[in-house]
Amino acid sequence: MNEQLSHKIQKRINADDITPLPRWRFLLLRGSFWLLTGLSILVGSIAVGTTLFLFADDRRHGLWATPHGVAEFLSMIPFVWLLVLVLCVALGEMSIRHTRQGYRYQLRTIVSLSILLSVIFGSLLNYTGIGRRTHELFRGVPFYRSATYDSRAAWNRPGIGRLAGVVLPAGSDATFSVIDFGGRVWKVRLATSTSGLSVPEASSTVRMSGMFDPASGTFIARSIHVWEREQ
Amino acid sequence: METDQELVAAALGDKQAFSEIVQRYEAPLRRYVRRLGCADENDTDDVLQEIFIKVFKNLNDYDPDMKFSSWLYRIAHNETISLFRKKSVRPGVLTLSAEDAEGFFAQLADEQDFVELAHERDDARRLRDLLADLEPRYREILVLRFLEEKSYTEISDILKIPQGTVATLIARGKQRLRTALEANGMHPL
Repeated sequence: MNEQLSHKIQKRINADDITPLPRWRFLLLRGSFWLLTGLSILVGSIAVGTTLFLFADDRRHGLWATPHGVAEFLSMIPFVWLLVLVLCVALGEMSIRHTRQGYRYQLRTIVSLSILLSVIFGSLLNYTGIGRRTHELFRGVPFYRSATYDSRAAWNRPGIGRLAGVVLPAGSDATFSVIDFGGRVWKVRLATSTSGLSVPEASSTVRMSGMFDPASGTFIARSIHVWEREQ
Repeated sequence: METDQELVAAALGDKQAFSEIVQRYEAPLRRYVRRLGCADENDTDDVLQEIFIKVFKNLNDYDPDMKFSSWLYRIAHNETISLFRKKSVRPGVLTLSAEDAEGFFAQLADEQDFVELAHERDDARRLRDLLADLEPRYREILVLRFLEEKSYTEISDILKIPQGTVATLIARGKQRLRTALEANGMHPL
């Protein structure tokens, strides 16, 4: 039986001229899975970096402290980038499984490690400004714009008591004008109920909380903060 | 006697040397394929041919960090499962001899968490049927552990799953088999 099978196999190998596949093909295949793993960690890190930037940006602009309802609170969470991170972790898991010994690791080990590496590298990337640049890069894409929270737009809502823009010159002790990020000019009056408020310097960019008085067409500012530049 | 690694190196340089590998592993792989549920003799022969041809083609992919036999068993497992899929059939009746059954029970009884089985331990046919009725993933792992007597590391390499999962599947498979044994009147002591 033994010889019979080995004989059959030898005959087939010779007849079909079968040869072992070259080593480079396997190296290339394994290498491509490692490349895919690395790529998924890199893109995952960018997603984390951009998420961190967006969180910091909204916090910097005081939005986390004063969300306008649950819907706005939820919309501040950058789900697009979190989804990208999830996809990258899934891709990383799939590709590491196809490396030589990737199957030896538990799913939770691979997923945790993948998230951990993305968070570490993502924090470093955010520190170097990649998060902001990535956000800026995608800002022009309509889908991205509609799927991510825009803190500039969030401060361009006088109707719910938020207004931001550049202070125009020639104001008085209690009134001034700002031009918002959309180019529209608003009259602003300091609220008499809040002490310590003063008219901000002309040309400075500010964000104000208060209320819009439709009768006079004036925004009544209760608090004024400098609009912190995106870092 | 040449080691497996030496045989692989020889086969890469000389096709004829591959016969040594075939002769060394034909019997264990034939037994394994049949234990996976390939009951038809012609199918077994065909699948064995495919296994060894695949082994030959992929010799350069063999990772010396694992046992050569584990790599062969992996290919054998995959080829046999793919045969079942191609034929759209469930694994057939397991080929389990009385000695197989005896050995299987002895192995199970050696496991600390599995009680020793009583007087009907030689009931090969009933055990074979119960094993065949188990879900494939449990049957495959129990066959590897208790009939092929593979270590957890080897099973991990053969089935390409983590060792922790091997342990979990073995424990669950044993539990299911125990339940099936009891339901069929093969009472543990």
